[in-house]
Formats: sequence, structure tokens, C-alpha cells
Amino acid sequence: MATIFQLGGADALDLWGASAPATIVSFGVNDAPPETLWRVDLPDAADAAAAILARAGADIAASNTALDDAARRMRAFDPRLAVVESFGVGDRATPDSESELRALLLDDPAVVSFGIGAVMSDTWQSAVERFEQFTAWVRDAVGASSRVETRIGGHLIAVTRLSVTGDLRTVWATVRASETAQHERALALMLASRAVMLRTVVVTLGGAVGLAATLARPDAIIRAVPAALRFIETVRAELRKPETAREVR
Amino acid sequence: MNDELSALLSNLTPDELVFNGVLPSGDYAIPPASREAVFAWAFGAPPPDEIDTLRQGDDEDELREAFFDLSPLSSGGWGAIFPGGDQRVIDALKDALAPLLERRRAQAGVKYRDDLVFTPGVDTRESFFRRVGIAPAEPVNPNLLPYYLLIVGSPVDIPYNTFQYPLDAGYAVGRIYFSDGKGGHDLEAYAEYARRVVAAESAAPRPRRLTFFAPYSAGDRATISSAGKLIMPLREKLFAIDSIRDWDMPDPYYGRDANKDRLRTLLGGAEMPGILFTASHGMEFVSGDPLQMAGQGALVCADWAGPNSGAITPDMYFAGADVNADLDGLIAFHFACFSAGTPPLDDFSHTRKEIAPAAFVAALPTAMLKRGALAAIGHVERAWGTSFQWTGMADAQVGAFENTLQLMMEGKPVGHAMQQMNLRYLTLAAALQALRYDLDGEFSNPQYQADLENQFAFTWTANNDARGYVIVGDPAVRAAVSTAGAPSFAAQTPINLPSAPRQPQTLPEARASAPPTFRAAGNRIVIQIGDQQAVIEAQISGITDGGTVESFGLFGMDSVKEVRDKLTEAIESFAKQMGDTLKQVVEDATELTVETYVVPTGTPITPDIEKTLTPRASTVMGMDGDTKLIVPERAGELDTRLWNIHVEMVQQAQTYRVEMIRALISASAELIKALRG
Repeated sequence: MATIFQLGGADALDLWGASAPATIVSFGVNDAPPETLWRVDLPDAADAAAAILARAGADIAASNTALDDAARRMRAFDPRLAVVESFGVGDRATPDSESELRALLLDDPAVVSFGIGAVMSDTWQSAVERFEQFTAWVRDAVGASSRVETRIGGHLIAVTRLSVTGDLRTVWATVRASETAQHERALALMLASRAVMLRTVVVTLGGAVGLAATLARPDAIIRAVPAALRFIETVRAELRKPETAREVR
Repeated sequence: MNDELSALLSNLTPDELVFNGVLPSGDYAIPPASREAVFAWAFGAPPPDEIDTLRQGDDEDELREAFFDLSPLSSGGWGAIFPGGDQRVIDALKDALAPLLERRRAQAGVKYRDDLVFTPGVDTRESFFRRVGIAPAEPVNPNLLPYYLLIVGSPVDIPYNTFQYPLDAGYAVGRIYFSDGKGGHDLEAYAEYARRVVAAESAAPRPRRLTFFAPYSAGDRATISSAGKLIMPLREKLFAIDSIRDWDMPDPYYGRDANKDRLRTLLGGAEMPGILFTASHGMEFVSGDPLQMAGQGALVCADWAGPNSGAITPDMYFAGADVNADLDGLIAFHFACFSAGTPPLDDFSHTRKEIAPAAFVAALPTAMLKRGALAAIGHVERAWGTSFQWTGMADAQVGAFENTLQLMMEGKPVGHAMQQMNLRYLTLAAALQALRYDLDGEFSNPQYQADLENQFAFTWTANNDARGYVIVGDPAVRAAVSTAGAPSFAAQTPINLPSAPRQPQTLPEARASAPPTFRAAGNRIVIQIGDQQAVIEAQISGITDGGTVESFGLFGMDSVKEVRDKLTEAIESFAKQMGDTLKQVVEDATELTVETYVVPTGTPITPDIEKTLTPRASTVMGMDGDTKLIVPERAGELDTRLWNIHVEMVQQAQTYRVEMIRALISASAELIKALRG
């Protein structure tokens, strides 16, 4: 068993909790190849279940928007530009996304003087660990077979097994339209999530290549990759703020 | 608020009518005009003094409330109208459109019709309705004539004015016409459009984003109006609608930012949205100009500096020939003169002069459809400021645009959404008729008569303007955008198969979107998806064999070596996994299998239970498009409910595979770039 993703967590895409299996879980077969489990637990009330899936779908859409925005901003980013303006806003308690990106890339004494240098090494280390963790999840999500389980009111109503090459086998405990629709939506949500996770890596790498080109140092790409992922996740968090969610291109 | 635009708006002359069309010389096709000039142009006589306002809205609201929900295809049905006269042509068109027709047949069920014809020179709208068996004034009865109607053919054969406009008033109508340039049909283009619509409806390839594009220049009153009085308030109103809050509506591209290069990024480039709304001039050529067919209705971009800045050259406008990228899933709305088509005669002047040798569909939307756009809404004849301004009223009147876009963003078919524009036409037509009746009376008060005549002139112009909005494309398409609340397939109309399966050897959807094929050649992998071919010319073996990052010379500082080692390992491991997955897909994905099982009532789902069950439904698609099916039965009949569930899973599997391969290709390419540093 590879990773278990549970809808409602905040580990991956601020949408799925991620954990390693402690024991064999439900469908586990000892000698079976690794299989990633995606669990979607929904309440009995159809309205509440629909709201959970709708919110998750909106989060996926927001993640895609954030990726567009982050890619654009990384293309426009120039770490050599002064950071004073970014820090000139008196009521800003934390550095903005571009400032942190600049700090991660440059590890620059000039940045230290603005008060965030003291946490840089930890920040950079955590960015590296985050990249490591995230790519591991994507490896599991994309490279292994997947199983999507949908429970309504605690009852397992459907399981879909999805091979790496896209073969799909579904076992239904119900053919009631209201319930089958929930599982279909859960499956679509899982597929969309995987696509966004993979796209996140693509945008990370693409952004890192561009950022590295602005750095005249031998380890530029290694420095830029975790910085790019952190930047993307910061932009996603920015977009989730209600006051900015609609205005960012 | 855009300060520059606000300042320009304040300088506009109140009650001046503007027209979004320019000539190649750079002159307005019709200069901004006073109401007096419009009156004279329309009726060949000078107008009286005052213009009063016309109440609007009440009739429209009542009509809207009274309207049945015909939006699902299973309720509204779907039909295609072919040009009559030569059955071989009709058969060829049906063959070319087969994937789309099959899909609509499955969605509309018994309310599907592909036997509708309009014979040029023989049929009138009246005879068409009589043959169908329903009077033109009857409410829509999809059992007789479907609500969604796709006209397949030229406006020469099936005319705009005498057939499409009045039909569109009550029905959701669109048109496709791909000319072979010799008076016939380009059957390959029809087939391509059908294939791409079906694929897009399964894949939902576009982001949930509505982008506005509104060029204007300081001396151009027409585009200042369309940017400031249409786009600006329209976007603000859409922001206030809760049901579409999950849509991204970035800042519009205004003024100089709305140049041709920018439009290129929106039409096939990195910024392509789910829905694109443009407000600009449309190019207008004199009748018979060699460039008219290709250029009429092309969108004039900010590369043109405005009136008195000289001639307009092709690099200043976006024409059909400029469409050079795939537009899969895009829906566009072009507010611009002639952006959908051109009738033979001027619809606005009393002279009814010839403006084209024959009616034609604009080249830009036609080219867009060939490259995967689902539909392009535009204007036949000139688009006027009356579309969003009303004489004597300061505030912009954008309700019909707002409602149309809202419905499209909520996932309704474009034909249904466009009924909001059609209701506006109906309201104006009714008002016009009432004014005509008023004017037949005897007048003792000359001022009252003058007011009515002014109202009539304005309403007549607004009416002719309102009816000109048409859909180029299938009216049943919806915004093919990425998931929000509901996944793309769940948002679509449930598929209703006929009561008994037809020849179940091939599934229409499966035939339309056969799985990708793969061919490995050394370090190259050639992937064919439909007629699109992607080549990964990369060091796949280097990745999968564990080629190291060190070999790319990325290290130089030992002080944080441990952290870098971890990072390197993560990248290498990821690269290897992507390479392995891609390799596996290439080697193993010779067919796609989808199986559906149902456990007996009361039996819980246990691990590997499917090994003890027989699949109730199964689809196995080979890479050559051949499909083997097991169709579920109950009491000797097709188990429609389970079959529908299974078909949706098949669509999901197809979508997944294509998207996953594309994503893997993209990831691999970026990975290689990153590793090369």
C-alpha cells in the first residue's frame, strides 16, 4: 500500500490528508503491487455531501488558477530587483510571496537586514523537505494503481480500482442515482486532484528553470526548485483569502 | 475602475449612437451618429425633435418566468436541419458529423431528430413548421421539433433573415457551415468539429475562467463605449452572482493591452480561458472586396490607434487566417460588427443596399470551430450601441449579456443561455409592433406624434441589432471547464440510450475518442491522440536508468550538501517514476478496459470481491478503435440505469488516460529541462 489520501485534510492541495498505511487497509493484499487509496467519506444528508464535493471541486479550480498565477508571476520575477518596496508597507506582518521567493533564491544579506534572514536556513530546509514530500505523493498518486472508496454515512457504497494505464473497475453496492453520482464525483475529484498535483510539479519545474536562469550560480536549479514549489503554495494560500480570490490574474 | 477609460467615457456625447465596425481605410464604417441622422438613415426623412424612453423589462421578466426548463437535452431534445434538395449531400453531412449526432442522439433520446430539412427556393419558415406538424406560434414541443436546433449549411441555402432569426426567437439555434470554397461543403471540417466537440465534452479541458478583451483608443468613441459601458459594468455585475463565484474573472485586457499578440495568447495560447468575451470593432469591407470573405468581422485590436490614424492593415486585426492554435473547449462571445456573419443587404438603412454579393458566415468563428472551439457567438450585420445603451438612460443596460453569461458559466448549453438575448429581441419586436400600431392613429398633438416617431426609429434600430446575435456552432455545447462542484461528466445531461441497444459492437463515444496510440523509436516516443501527435524526444532511458543530477554539474557548495542530496534524490526518484510510468503506458496501454460490477443486495463490498463476480457491463477498446462490449440486461431488456452508469465510467476512463498522458509528457519535458539546468 502506498499513500492514503483522505478527503478533508490539508496535506496535499489543502484538500487531502495524506498518511502512510499502518496496516493493511480493507482491500490490501500482501503480495499485491502498491496501491494508493483515496477515501471520500460523506454524510448521509445528500445536501451536505454535495456541499463537501462542491467545495472540494472549487478548491481544485482555485488550485488551477493559483498555478496559472504563480507561473505568470515566476516568469515576471527578477530577484535582482530591490526588495525595499515590498517591505515598505507598514502593516504587513509577513513578507509577501515574491519577497520570500527572493529570499529563498538569494539567501541574501540584504534580505537578512529586513528581518527574515534569521529564519532563512530553516525556511529553505523546510522548502526542500516539502518538495521531497510532495514529489513522493505525486509518485504514489501517478505511478501506482489507485483505489477510490466512497462511503456514505459510514457505508462503503462503491470502490473503483484504477490501473496506471487507465483501466477502471468499479464495484457498486448500490445503483441508486443519487449515490452513484456521489461516487462518480469522488472519482472525478480524485482524478482532478492527481492532475493538479502533477501539474504542480510541472509548474514547479518550469518555474524553477526560469528562476535559475536569473541566478548566476552553479547550484541555481537546485536552489530554485524547492523555492518554486513554496512560491506556488504561497500563491494558492493567497488566493484562498476571500478579499483577493477574485481579482488575481 | 480604469481611470483612463472613465475620463474618456465622460467625454462621450449623450445619446450619440455608435457602431462597432471600421473600414480598411481606418474610417468608421458608419460614423457615430445623432438620433436625427439615424432616423434619416432608417427612413429617409428627418426626425422630429424629442425622443422619449421606452419602458422595458416587465415583458421580459414575465416571459422568462413562463419559460419551461428545456435546458437539459433529455428535456429539450436536439435536432439538425440540413439544406434540402440533394439527399447525397445530406447523407455525406450526416456521415461527417456522425460522432456528434450519435452523442446528441444518446443525450436527447426520443427527442432527437436528424431528418429536418429546409429546401432553398421551396421552403418558407411557414412550410417548414407545417411539415414538422407544429404551428410557428405554438410553445416549444420537443416531441415534434426539438428546442436545440443546429442548422447545417450556408445562409444562402438557409437564410438568416427569413428563417434563422425568427426560429431563434423561440428555439435555441446555432449554425455551422464549413465551405469548401467551391460552393460545397468541406466534409473533413465537419468531421473535425464533431470529433473535437465530443472530445471536449468528455475532457472539459478549459479552466473556469472568463476573460474580457476590450481594445479602445482615446479618439474612438465606439470602443470607449463598448469597453466602459458594456465590459466594465458587465464584469462588475457578474462578480455579484453567488452561483458563479468559483469562476475566475481576471482584470480585462483594456485599451492598448488588448492588442493582437494578447488576443493570440487568449486564442490558443497559455492564457486561453473557458469563455472569452471580446468587445471591439469588426472589420467591414465593401461588397465584393477580395478580402471581404476572409476579413469581414475580423476583430480589430489595439494595434490600430483609432480614427484618423491611417489605414488598418491585417496585422491590426485578428481574422480567421490568424487562428493557428488548438482551441479545444473554448466558447467565445464577440461583440463586433459582422463577427458571426453578413447578410446580402443592409438591415438598417432604408435603402437596403447590397453589402455582400451573398450571405456568408464569418471566417473567424468558422476557423475557430475547425480548431476545436465549441461555439462562437457573434453578430450578423452591424452591432450597435443599442445593445447596451438606451436613449435617455445614463446607466448601461447589460442585463441580457449578464444573464447569458451567467447561464453559460452555470453550465447551461449556449443555446439556452442565448435565449436571454433572444428574449430581448422578442421584447423589442413587440414594442416595435405596438409603436407601429400607435403611429397608425390620428394625431392632434404634433409633439406626441414626433415622440412616437422617434421612439419608433430607435426601437427599430435596436430591434434589428438585437436579432443579429447568433451562435456559430452547436447550440447544445456547454462551457467545457475544469471541475468545480461537479465533475465535467456529472454536469452533463444523463445519457439516455434507446430502449433497445442498437448494434452494440461499437460505442459511439468510444469510436469518437479512441485511445491514444504509442510508438517507441529509440529515445523517442511518438504519441498519437486523434490526429494530434506528440513526440517526446527525451532521454527517457537516462531518466529511467537513474541518470544522476551530478552529471549535470549542479553541485558546488558543500555547506548544505546534505539538504541538496535529499533534494537531488527527490528529483531523481520523481524522474525515474515518471519515466517508468510513461514507459509502462507506452508498452501496456494497447487497450482500455472498463468493467462495472454490482454486489448482490445486502452484500458488503469486501477486498477483491470483483474476482468472485461477473462484470455486469464491460467495455474493452483497442487502440485501433475496435470495441468489445458486454451490455447489462434485466429481464431480457437493456438495464438502462446500469448502462448509463457504465457509459459515464467509460467516458471518465478515456478522459483520464488522455489527460494523464498529456500531463506525463509535460512533466517529462519540464523535468528534462530542469535536469539540464
